[in-house]
Amino acid sequence: MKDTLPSTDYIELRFGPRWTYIGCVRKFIASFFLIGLADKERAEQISVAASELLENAIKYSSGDDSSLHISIRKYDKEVDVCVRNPAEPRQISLLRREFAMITSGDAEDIYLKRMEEAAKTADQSRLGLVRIIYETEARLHLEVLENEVALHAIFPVE
Amino acid sequence: MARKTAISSLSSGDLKIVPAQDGDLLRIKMSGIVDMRDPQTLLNPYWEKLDKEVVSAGIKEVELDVRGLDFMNSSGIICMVRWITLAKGHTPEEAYRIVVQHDLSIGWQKKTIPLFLKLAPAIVTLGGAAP
Repeated sequence: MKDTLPSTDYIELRFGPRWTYIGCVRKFIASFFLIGLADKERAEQISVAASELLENAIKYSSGDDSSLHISIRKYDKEVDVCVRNPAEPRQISLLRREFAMITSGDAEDIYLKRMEEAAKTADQSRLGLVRIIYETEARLHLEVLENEVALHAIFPVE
Repeated sequence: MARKTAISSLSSGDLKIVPAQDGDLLRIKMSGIVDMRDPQTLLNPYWEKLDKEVVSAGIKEVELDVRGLDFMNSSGIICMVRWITLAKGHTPEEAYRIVVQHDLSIGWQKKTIPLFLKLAPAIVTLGGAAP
């Protein structure tokens, strides 16, 4: 998205799907955008979104040896957090359905419903994506490429 | 008067949970962060044991203080919701209230903690939410 537009602040990281890296990335992003935006709440929201997108990517990407790619770009009026990971057709199909469901109604209602359902089952909940929408008010965008998905969380900024 | 409970502290990585009983009130202080991959393996048994102990000891109020909890991932949130769901299923004789002390200056707490009240309005109360 918007690769041709000028970006004033830019982070790009690529790493193996190791869970313990997520916390490091979250803290780094929070510090980086606290400086870049001078808005603690927004910096925290961006770091939470990045963290949940990375957790989602590690849980649902295809293959343990695949790498994750996160890029965060600040434009004039928005910040785009994008996480890319390899995915098989079945996972892409599930993600499309999930994405359509969580973006089709009131975020609070969907988040509450998901919480209740998740509390009753041992299955994976995918609460993270709807959490991003509800807690941070970011706009989510799903990009499907060949054997790869990219999930964007887009934040308006001043 | 409630009997003394046998709930121990829990410490794992950056997370600490410290209980302290004061008569009929049980205070649970959570601090640090919850960002492990499968927090349910650690937290679900803890909340289940706590729930059983609270009911059998006759405790009527649990104060859950999360003001020192800087971050909790969505899997950790589910564990907390699971406990609240367990607690709201008790009979009136067994029932206890959960008072959640949260911090409005921490983004996830400001948005997500008030939803616990919507999930279980009969038993959850939000307490001192000052930053």
